[in-house]
Amino acid sequence: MKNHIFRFTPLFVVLLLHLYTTKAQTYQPVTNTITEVIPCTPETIFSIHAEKAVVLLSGWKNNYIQVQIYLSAVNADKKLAMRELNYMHYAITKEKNAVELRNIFTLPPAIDKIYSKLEVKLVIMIPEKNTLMITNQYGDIQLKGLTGNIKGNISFCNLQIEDYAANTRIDATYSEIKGVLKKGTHVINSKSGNIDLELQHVNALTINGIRTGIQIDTHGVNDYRYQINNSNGNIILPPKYNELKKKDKNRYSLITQPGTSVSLVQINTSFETVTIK
Amino acid sequence: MIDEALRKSAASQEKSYPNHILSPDHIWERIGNNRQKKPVMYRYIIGIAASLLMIFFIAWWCIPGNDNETVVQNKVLLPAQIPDNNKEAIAYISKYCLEHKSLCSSPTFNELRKELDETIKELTTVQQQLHLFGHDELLLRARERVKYQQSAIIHSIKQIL
Repeated sequence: MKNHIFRFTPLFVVLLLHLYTTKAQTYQPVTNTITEVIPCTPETIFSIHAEKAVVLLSGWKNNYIQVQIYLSAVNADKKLAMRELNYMHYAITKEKNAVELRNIFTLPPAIDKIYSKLEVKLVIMIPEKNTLMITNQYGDIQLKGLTGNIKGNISFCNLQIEDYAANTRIDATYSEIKGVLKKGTHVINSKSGNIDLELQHVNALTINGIRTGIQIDTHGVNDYRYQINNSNGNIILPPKYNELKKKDKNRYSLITQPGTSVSLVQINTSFETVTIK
Repeated sequence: MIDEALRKSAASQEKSYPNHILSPDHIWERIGNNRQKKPVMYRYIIGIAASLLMIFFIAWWCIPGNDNETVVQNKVLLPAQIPDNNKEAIAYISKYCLEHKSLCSSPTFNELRKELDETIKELTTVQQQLHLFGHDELLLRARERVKYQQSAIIHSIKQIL
């Protein structure tokens, strides 16, 4: 009998460890959800200053802004998770024609390390034509169904654009920008990033890149004229444009002029590849 | 002696000697002239070669120190040996540039060096964030992006050096 107990002891230990780790993986997060509704006019400029946040922003037909803020903290120690949940703050301020949403992390003076996994998610609906200004660092952003003017300043972000016909100016560092651009005039300044865009009848697109890889799907390259310069990096084009591609030392370029009435795609970048599909 | 023998042999052939060719005395006179000139020409050539060799050896002797130093330096630091690890590579480039200032002063190199310094700062900021927030997925992704760029810049520097 004793022998049997000794034989199965390791098995029990392994089983207990497995149960312990399984339990650790399924800790329920401590959450706090806030919903705010902010009335606005078509002139209202909405600014978002996000930090380490996932921002999901969509345009809608209503004439007010709706902000849902999801804060969550995950830790084996629920008390610690609850305490650290309080490190996450947000503020909404309204002033004449400007509304500002800001999230910040504020730690007590003695604390220099956070032990819980903290997450901030901002789900925002704004009138589709209103002007938007957004900044985010170390986060993800999704912009959908917008038609106004948009100014963005992002670093270490993934920006996803869907069903989007706004006029845009985005300054991006170490960020990835993906999606579909419809109509509008778009200017993207990108450093050390990657841009993968599909164009659907845009008025003009300008990308000023440094060490930024660029892929553009034009759905019929004849719809645009191109001014592309790439130093220390190649330009990959549909076969019919290959004859127009020029190389001068370490710089590739493509300039086409089928007519000034055609939308211009202007790209400058370096060290990475530009691909036109 | 050989001349004598040749002269005799030639004299024996004089009867059958063709009329349109110069007379044997004339030919011997020319041969004699050539013999006097040749040793003089050789002496000149040998003299010039010796002088050139001398100049070359004196020049080599006067600047041996610099050449030796360059050889030693190149043995210690070769751009091709820049380590794969970014941290070590940056230290290596700094050391290399201290010893090869002219190579590291071109505008292109300075631009790359500036970019490299920026990545060092950015990486420090991300590391501080990681220390604060722990192993956060978004921060780990940010760190990888900076490291990727840092590697690309180091690769460019490697090509220049």
